[in-house]
Amino acid sequence: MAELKRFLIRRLLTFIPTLIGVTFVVFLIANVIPADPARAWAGGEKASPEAIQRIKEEYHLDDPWYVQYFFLISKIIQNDIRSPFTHNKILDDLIFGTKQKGGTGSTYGRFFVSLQLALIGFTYVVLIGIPLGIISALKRNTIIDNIVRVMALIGVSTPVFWLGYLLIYILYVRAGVINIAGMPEPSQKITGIMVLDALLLGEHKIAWQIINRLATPAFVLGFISIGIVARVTRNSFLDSWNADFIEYCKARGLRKAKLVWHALKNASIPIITILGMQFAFLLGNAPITETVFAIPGLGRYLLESIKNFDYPALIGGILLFATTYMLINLIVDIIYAIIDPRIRY
Amino acid sequence: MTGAVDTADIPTEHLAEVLGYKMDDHEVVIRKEVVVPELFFIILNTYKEPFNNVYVRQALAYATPYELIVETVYEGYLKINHGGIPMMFPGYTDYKIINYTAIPYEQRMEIAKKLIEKAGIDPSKYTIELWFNSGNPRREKVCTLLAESWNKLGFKVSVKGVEWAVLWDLTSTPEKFDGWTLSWFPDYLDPDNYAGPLFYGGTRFKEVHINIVQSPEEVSKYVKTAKVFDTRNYYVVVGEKGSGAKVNVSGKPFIVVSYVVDEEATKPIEESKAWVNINPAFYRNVTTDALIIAARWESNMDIRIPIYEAIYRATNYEMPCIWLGHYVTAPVEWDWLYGRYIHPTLAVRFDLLWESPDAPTVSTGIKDYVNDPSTYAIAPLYGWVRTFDPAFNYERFGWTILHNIGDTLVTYWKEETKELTPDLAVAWAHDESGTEWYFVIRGGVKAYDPWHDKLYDVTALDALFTIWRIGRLEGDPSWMITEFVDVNSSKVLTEEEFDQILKEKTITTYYRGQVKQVKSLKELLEFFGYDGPTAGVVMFKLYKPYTAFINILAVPFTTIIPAKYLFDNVDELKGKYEEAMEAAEWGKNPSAWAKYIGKGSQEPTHLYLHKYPIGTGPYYIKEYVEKSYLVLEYNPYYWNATLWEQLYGFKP
Repeated sequence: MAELKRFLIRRLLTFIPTLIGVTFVVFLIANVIPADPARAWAGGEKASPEAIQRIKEEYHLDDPWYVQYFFLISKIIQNDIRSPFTHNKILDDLIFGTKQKGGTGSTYGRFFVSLQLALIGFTYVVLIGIPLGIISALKRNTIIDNIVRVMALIGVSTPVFWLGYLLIYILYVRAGVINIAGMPEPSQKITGIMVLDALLLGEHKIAWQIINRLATPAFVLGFISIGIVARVTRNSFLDSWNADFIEYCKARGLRKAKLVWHALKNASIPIITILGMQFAFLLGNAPITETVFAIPGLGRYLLESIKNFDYPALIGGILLFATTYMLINLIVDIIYAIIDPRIRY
Repeated sequence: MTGAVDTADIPTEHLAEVLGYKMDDHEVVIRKEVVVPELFFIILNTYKEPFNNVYVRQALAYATPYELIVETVYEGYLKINHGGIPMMFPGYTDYKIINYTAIPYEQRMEIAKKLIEKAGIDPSKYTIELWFNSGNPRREKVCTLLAESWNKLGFKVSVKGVEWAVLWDLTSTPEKFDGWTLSWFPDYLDPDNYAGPLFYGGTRFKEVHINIVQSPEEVSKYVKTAKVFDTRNYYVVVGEKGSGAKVNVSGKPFIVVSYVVDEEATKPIEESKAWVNINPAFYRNVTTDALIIAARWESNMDIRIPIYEAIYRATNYEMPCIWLGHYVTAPVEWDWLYGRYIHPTLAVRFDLLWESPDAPTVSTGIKDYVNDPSTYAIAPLYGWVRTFDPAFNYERFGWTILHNIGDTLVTYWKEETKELTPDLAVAWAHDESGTEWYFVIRGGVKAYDPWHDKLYDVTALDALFTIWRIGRLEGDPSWMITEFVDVNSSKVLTEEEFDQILKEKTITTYYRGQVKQVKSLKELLEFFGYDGPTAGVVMFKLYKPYTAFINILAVPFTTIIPAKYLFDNVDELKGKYEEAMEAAEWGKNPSAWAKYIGKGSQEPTHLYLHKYPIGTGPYYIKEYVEKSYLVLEYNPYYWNATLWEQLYGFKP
């Protein structure tokens, strides 16, 4: 336990330079690009000199780069800086939600929309990818194995936007069974998982609307990962299935279900690794899916920030994304130890 | 196409994909195609070779494949205009009808080559880089077509996509660019909003005068040199103040614009910044600059229009930009929707639309909201409202919402573009100098605060506070106020005070094409056909007479906000309403409000209105989730609700 604690502290400390590095790279790129952010933020060609000057002062754009960087990072962390484009506090847009007392707005930050999307996508990946991998391994070199492998290959090679538009055409335009506009929200944020919150609040209609809204994009988002996870599961499971201990278990007369369970458990480290990576991939790949399906999530927020040259918001989004990515990796590392007691830190 | 929305802003290149789509007995249609004043053009860097030569610019115009661009890039949804003033504005002269006006450019390579010869340059020595904002495939195609054609003249033309923020930086000074694409959407309906930003070269003048004379001999009394523009009703002559200029034309009266340049105040082009003190082409021409300044401050439209006709001809001949034309908008809608209209600057008012009773009822997928015959659902193209604070709002979707939840002092009814209609002001007039504008405010108007279910009276004090606050905050659209209005010298008057002014001064009004001098408030209100209650008078003091000022007051960023609403709800101002109004002598000394209202995007009243909009318009905002949806409901306290009874026979 003490080892795990030391490990956690050590890993958490490594977060700091990583986050500084990541945000600094974004800041550096934004500063190296010969651009006029103040004019872009103040309305482009129609911006008045006074408005441009005001923005320069508010965001310290005329100060040395290190002053600007420190100002941005410290203000973002304190949630004391507003996006020059949306005029909302950056962390309100991203995490806390923009809804204020007695008013209206989003209860959920954009991150939670993406998280929700990634979680549903991840559910597809786990529920489809792992069983497909196991079936493929158990039916090795049969027609079923070949079908699963071809499906995995298709999954890996299908462009997200193409699949997205195809499903929109089939399910929205033709069948009219899904919704592709707006983003329903429960009335309160409890866990941050919107479907769960809606169910906890008894807002079943909202829960259904969220699922209806996100099920298709989540499938599109997870489609590539399903293929990847199926392939990794198959290979890893096969290694495990062919190991001596399985032969020993067979000799002991264990039922097949038990055998599969033991094999899967032993194959789980690479599967967990790839699942962890895929979850991060789902979050990171969200911009395209969110754009195709007009979902107001973190990915689209980042793209909009780039489009508007809103680099304070972009840095805020990247900071959040990098933190999430590192946390996922940390969780995966902790899960290793839980699954395999031989692993020590 | 599921009927969840009634209409959608679909780019014209995708129209064919949705037109004719059917659902039950209904289909997707385009009922109307309208040429909008948004003007699309290629900016040339006239400070650099070879664009500093007018013949080269004209040659490039003659080498521009206009028809190809219209047909292959815009599918016919671009209307050619060869000058810098929109075809629906005063000043535009149709070269096809009036043969003495603009050059009717078309792709004529032989003329282009002759012009290059005339320019005396070797095109093979020049490389031209054409930039467009990346992610805009249409502009990329236009640039590619231009490059192909201009290459045939011997230039080496390449095309490059650049992010907007980078584009602003690279084109802000004259050193770094050759040419780039832009379109200009009007802020308000006046040719000055085109001539100024797109053509004014930054010359400062000590004097600019306009004289109307009848003979060439008289012209020579006012100017040393003379450049003559032949316009419909006048010869417009522009030249340096002095005498001796010879003019060899006659048969029409002359508008003589004489000027004295202020050399010291005029920045050299190389030190100028695009959009700040010079046009984006870095084109400077003292005579046209004098015309632009003369037209800007002239209040008589009979004189103003010929000057803009002269400016139009100058933009057409000089070609600092290759003017391409206007976009044509074609809104796509289900055939159950009626009443959709298109105004060049104002968005559609949703309460003026209606649906046939057999329009389907379709779930929107958001809560219990359905799109039924009594609901208008729209899928906009322009993203999200950047802010609900009018003083900071400078984008189309934001103005759409503000136009529906609020009122300005004046407005345009539906598609009307020339005649203003009373809105929160029931009558207006100006003094002889054209620098004092009076607006009589409609009485009995309430602003509805849906966040606290509270009502606020709207008076002349609020009108002044709103305009003063726009100037004070220095938000993005504030220049339209600060450039023309001395907000601190503007004030609120009682009806009695205004009546006295009417008796003492020469006050003129115009409405529905009629001009009248009025001597009493009663007479003024009668002239406007208004006999209801009033809520005071606001006087706006202009730095100089600017006829287009009243058009600015129709733009949604001037939506009137009740001052008390802010003093009731903004933490920093709570309980200080009386104090602030006393300090400002209830609108006689608005500069005192500076103690309470700050500047910039962190200003507390801005941060409050950013989230909690209020208005007097036909709708109020029931709820919204950013980037997701926004719900408007009929404002039960709308002052003009009888309109709905007249239109639909109901009162919500």
